[in-house]
Amino acid sequence: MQWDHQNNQIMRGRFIFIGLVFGVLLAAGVLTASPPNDSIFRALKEEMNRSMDGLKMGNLERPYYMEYYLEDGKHWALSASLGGLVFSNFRHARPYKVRIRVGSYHQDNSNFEFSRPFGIVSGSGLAGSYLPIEDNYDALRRAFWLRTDYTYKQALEALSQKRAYRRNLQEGELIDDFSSAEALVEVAPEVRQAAPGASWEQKLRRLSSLFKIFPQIQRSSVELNVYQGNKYFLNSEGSRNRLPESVVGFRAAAAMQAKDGSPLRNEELILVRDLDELPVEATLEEKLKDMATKLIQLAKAPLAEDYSGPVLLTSEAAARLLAVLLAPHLSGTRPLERPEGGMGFRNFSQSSAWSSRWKARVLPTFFDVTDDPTREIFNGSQLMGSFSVDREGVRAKSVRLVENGRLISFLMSRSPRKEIFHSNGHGRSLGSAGVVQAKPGNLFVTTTEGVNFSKLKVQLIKEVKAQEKPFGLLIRKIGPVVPAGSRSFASAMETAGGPLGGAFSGLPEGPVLIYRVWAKDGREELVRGLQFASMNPRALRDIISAGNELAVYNHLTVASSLSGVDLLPTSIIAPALLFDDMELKASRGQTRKLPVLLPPFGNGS
Amino acid sequence: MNLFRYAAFHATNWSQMPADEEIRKEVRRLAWELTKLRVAPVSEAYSGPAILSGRAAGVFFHEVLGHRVEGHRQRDEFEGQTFTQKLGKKILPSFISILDDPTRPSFEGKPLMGHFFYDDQGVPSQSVSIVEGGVLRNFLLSRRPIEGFSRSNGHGRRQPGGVVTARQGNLIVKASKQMQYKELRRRLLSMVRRQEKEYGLLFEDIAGGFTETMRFGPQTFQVLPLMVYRVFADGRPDQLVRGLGIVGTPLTVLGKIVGASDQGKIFNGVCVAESGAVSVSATSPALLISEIEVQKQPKGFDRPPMLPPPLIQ
Repeated sequence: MQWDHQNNQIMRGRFIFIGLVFGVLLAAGVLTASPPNDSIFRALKEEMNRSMDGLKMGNLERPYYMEYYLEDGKHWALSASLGGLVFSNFRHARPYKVRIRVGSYHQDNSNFEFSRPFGIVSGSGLAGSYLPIEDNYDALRRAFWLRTDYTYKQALEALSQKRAYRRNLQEGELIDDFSSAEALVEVAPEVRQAAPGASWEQKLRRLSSLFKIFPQIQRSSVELNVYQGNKYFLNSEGSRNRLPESVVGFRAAAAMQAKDGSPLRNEELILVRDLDELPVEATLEEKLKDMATKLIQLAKAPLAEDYSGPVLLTSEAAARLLAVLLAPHLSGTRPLERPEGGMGFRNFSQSSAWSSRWKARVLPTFFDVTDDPTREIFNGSQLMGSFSVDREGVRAKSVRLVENGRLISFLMSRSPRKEIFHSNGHGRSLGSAGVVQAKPGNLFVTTTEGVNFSKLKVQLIKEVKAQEKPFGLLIRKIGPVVPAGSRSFASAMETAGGPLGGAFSGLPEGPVLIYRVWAKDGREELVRGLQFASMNPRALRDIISAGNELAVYNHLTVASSLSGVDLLPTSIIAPALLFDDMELKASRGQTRKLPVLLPPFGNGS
Repeated sequence: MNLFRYAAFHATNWSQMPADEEIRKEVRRLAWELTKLRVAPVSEAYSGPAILSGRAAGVFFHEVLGHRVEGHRQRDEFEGQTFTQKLGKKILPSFISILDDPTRPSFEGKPLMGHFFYDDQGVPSQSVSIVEGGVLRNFLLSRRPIEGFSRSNGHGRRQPGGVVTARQGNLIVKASKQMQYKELRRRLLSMVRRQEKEYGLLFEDIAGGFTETMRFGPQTFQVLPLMVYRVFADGRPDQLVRGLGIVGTPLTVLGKIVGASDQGKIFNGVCVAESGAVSVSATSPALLISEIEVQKQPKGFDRPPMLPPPLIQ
């Protein structure tokens, strides 16, 4: 899913229907197959063929690989607060990308951070960032013509800089830049979501007005985001695919201040693939009230002090923690080669903490980790991270990554590394310098020695007593992995590419619901004001026990790329986890004085 | 070198928008002009007499004078304060008067985009006479007072969410001494001959510009001309050139205006400054300037595409 706020067009779309309707495949969506001579593929193919034959600058190389990508994306964003719509937007846009490789599979222009002359207007501006949202053959050809030309020249420049840079280096072990892959043709039917429409606007008004019974809450919103994309991919090796993607996000969020002024927030986020898969209104209502009630309880909870000792995380909380502590480190995408003083690119492809831990123990021996994008459902829960073909046209495969605690494989795109050469179908996001980054889809963290949750709690108390502490901590909920202060799902998407981009790679916003579990009687007491102290994946080795039930955490991994933001639907499936030692520090947030006047409605208590 | 042309139509309601045929004509004209620009010679640096067409002159005054008479710039010590001490003094030839009049919805039947009834501080808009007979008389003011002016004159403006500052609305340049355009052109040529130049310049259309009003920067302005012609002394047909920008310092340039045409032209557009984007207009007759300086614009280094356009194939 690609997201960008630059363009704001009203749809005047035109769709091609033929008789075939796959009503069974997707309950509410209508699937239509396009005629074989789809004008998008035809325009792309003709421009690519012409470019492969004709692009040659002086005595420099021709492209040896070319790839066109086009995403037809529709996004509905609705938000309501206290019974009134804040916005109800629709946006239809077609971003597109061109990737060109010159040189050879052994050495080409990729995997290298090249510097561009500063301040010179790039030729790509001529082509613009978006295509017409209608299938206009001429417009498609012209846009791809110019983008291809620009990308080819950039590729030549990068390759020449890379060669010059390497000439000055001690000859080391060189890894190929690009691995071979089988050509794959998979043209899935187009997916079409029904627009949320007036009924959802009404629903959001009703749901958001529930916050009226909580006058202490200072900010509240109920949001619905519906995204539907059809992704076209074509490369010069004969791969051609069209893949649907749909994401529906429902979010209710609330914020208030405790009596001492410290800011508190809570939220409920549900991701599904289709509007009809969202819970019914009565259930949403219940979840929303529960979320608000918890927030108000939290405001009354005592402040916690710095803590270091045993911590138990429920499976839901554990899955969220693993999304930031484990998932990013399983990518095998190597960092860009980077000449000294190079400053052209922000380096989005930093080396993962585990890239040098091949075959080493990274988790306790009772853990296995597998990423399986081919699974769609687990225990009745939909897995948002499933996909059949990756961003490089490679079929997604299930990959065993950690076995008995040892790192045995990496998630791979077509960018080879020393230990693993070929892609395992996990290239998901186009990062800087045209290198596709490998990212997880459905990440299963499993254990052979899981116990039930009440046993884990007993173990927690035992551990607390052994460490001679009065209480241990139980984390039931962790905040979303979005930058603090971002208003909404949509603005989080927007912010991801901006100055706050770095915030996504950090820790989750923090534990929202933390309980002291008292050693003397096992009583749970809600506390507030604790944040994770700095943590790295090493902390995972402090896990001493895990639960026997797995929770599914569906979320969007935000991958920043030079040209915008990729939001990758991802699932983490994990058990409850008991750490024998974890550090949390007291953090009060930015404390502002309470409002001078009482809330304008309710009794203000 | 990247070249561009654009056309914009502004109106306050649909009925004021031009007919389809008029828009089609504009689109064809743009394409035609762009094709001509592509083969036009690149201009060299030049200093000499020039005519600014009405639209070009409008933008010229918006940048060179308009921004510098915004009230808040007169009290900010970091500002250049080009005109702060010029109140009551002559800054333009005596045949030029300038007002900013947001109360006017239109000029000769055409909509003015800088029209509003109340400014963004709730003050009724007013026509402000900035320059009378070449003498600076007034500043554009929001409710933020400046020395000698304690009340707003209805020019506090902002984009929603911005912080109000004094801004222009409908800037209108008037000339008490007018001549027909033909006469203006004749005078240009006689000045060219007197200065023993090969040609003078005619600025047909400009894209808007930017101005530097702060002290730490040079007190200069630049406007980006889109369609500029050489008008030759020896009577050859006018020649389109590309790749130049007008540069100069405001006080010297304003003093070199020597003539004005009898017909005003409107430039409607959006002006971006500290308080955000607001819609404005600038209306001016064509102006003859005895000496104007142009420099080469930086050119891009991108080579033209290697393959011919797919539409040609």
